[in-house]
Amino acid sequence: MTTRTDCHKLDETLMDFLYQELAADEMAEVRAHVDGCPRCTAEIERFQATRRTLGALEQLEPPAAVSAKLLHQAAAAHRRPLWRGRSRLFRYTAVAVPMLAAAAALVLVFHVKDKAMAPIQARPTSTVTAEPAAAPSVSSGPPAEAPMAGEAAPSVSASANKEDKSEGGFELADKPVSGKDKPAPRRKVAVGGGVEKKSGIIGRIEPDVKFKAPSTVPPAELGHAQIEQERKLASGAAGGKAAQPAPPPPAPRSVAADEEQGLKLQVRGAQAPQSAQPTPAPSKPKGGVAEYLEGRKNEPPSTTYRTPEINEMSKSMAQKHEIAPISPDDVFRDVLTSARENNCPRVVERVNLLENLRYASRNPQNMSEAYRHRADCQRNPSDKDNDLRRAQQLRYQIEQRASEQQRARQKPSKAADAPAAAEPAPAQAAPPAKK
Amino acid sequence: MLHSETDEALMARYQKGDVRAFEVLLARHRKPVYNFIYRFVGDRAQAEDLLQETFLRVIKGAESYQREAKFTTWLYTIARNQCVDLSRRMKLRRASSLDQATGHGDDHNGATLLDVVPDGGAAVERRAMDSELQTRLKAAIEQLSEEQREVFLMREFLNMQFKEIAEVTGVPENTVKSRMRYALEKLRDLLEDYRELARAAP
Repeated sequence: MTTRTDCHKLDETLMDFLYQELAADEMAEVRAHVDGCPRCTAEIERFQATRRTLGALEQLEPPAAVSAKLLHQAAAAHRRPLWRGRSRLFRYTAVAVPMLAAAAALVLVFHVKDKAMAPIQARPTSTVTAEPAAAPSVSSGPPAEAPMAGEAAPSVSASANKEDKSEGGFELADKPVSGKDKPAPRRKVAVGGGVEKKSGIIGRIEPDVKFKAPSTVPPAELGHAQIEQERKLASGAAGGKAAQPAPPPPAPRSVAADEEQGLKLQVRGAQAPQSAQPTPAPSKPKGGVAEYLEGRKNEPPSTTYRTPEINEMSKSMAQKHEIAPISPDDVFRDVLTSARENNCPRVVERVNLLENLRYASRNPQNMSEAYRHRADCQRNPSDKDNDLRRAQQLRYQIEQRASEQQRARQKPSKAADAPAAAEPAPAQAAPPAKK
Repeated sequence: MLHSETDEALMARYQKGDVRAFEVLLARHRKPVYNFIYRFVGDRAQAEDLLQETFLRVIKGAESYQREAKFTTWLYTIARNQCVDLSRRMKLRRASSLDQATGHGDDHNGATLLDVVPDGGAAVERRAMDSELQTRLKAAIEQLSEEQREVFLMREFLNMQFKEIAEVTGVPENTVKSRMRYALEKLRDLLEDYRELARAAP
């Protein structure tokens, strides 16, 4: 039964056999041979033993912070199609609505004329009548496009009540929604239209997307239980080291909340460590999208990785798709909200993010508060102490700076203290940047 | 229920704007992808960066993703290309700067590996042994040539079929299989004395 040719055949199909990629009948055939052949049995056993040894290799858990960042980016990026769809709609309505309004106004005018001084709002001059009539009809236009209207509305109202935002954002629309200047429109969206298909790495990958139908085996999916566990890890990993005395109900996943918050696309940290300002100085009000983009053109890519080579790799990507930085102020607001809701894992995760964004250098006051919130969530007393110490340190810094400024004011001979604004963050706030 | 959906269905959902679908995809794949990258590049900080960059490209490429394509093949191709790119750049850099110290600055191995392993209450000696084994295994994998290493990692850690690996790496399936075999043989030689130990430590 065991012939040389059989052994030779095993040699040829050894890997397939080892990983059970042979068809059932072939598998059985080889198995039958192996069972009767000590040489082949030993050979296979040696390979299996090596595989078992390597099976002991531990699987590391990726850091939760990476997942958190990616979720922000996913939430920010997915808006693009909606925006684009919306702007097309706007383009259409921009023409259609005034026309309809004009038509309505004309009808109204004739109607008014016909009725000749109707008692309710009789205004003799037709042109004056037409204008007020047109305005409401413009605003009542959107409800007609039900699916989009919901999406459109928040951004407009949001821009109204987020005027306090110090750092300029921009609103993405193919054409200005209204002629007047909007005060610091709030939503930032990854712009750059479509995904650049023929560039860089993605370009290399693109051809692969031709892969025909999902092949043979369904994607290696994790079991249900494992997924649940993954989820728990994902949502709680940050909180793991900082569980709270009485664990509050872990809030249902955060993504929806993120969306509502209109969180910005962000990538690891502000561009350059310490030295550079986190964002272009928001000194002057932003004109429009074009100007904003123009201003960003010369900035370093917003993705900063610890490895210079990886930076280079991502640079081309970042340039292809304008990546707007996340607004740390929004993240800070999220900290406050989460703290109010007693959602400790999220507080911890958000404050970690703020650290990565070097929020302390931008707004030490807020960062100090953020640290205090995180301290409340720390179970480990030394972590708690550290956070309180950081908060204290920042407060101390603020006071010191204030007194310095006061002294500077008292001695007007000294130069203005403008650059004092961007002090380096406390030691811990800076992630270990390897250069 | 999102969790029971296929990767492809989830990706389609994400294309339509459902970020939770992306979240499920991320939860499902981040660990294997991270470990693949980590074992490929051998450095944890770099692996974190590349993990982020890989999924970032999934986000950016979502619009062009077609549902007929198997998601994992696409994802793994991105991850693998990132690793290959980085490795090439690192080599270039190493070649151009002679004064650079060997190895990676913040490579964690040995004892620090234990830091991330949840303490399952294992005995101290056992952990020391595990740690030594982990160091040996890591070193052994790093001794493989890049071609062998990627094939080995894809087959063992990402559970990809040889055909799929061939697709991702762009070499014939038979080449993939012989690389796999060489990889296993080399690892076998490198880990000869550890075999029994591993059996004792599941």
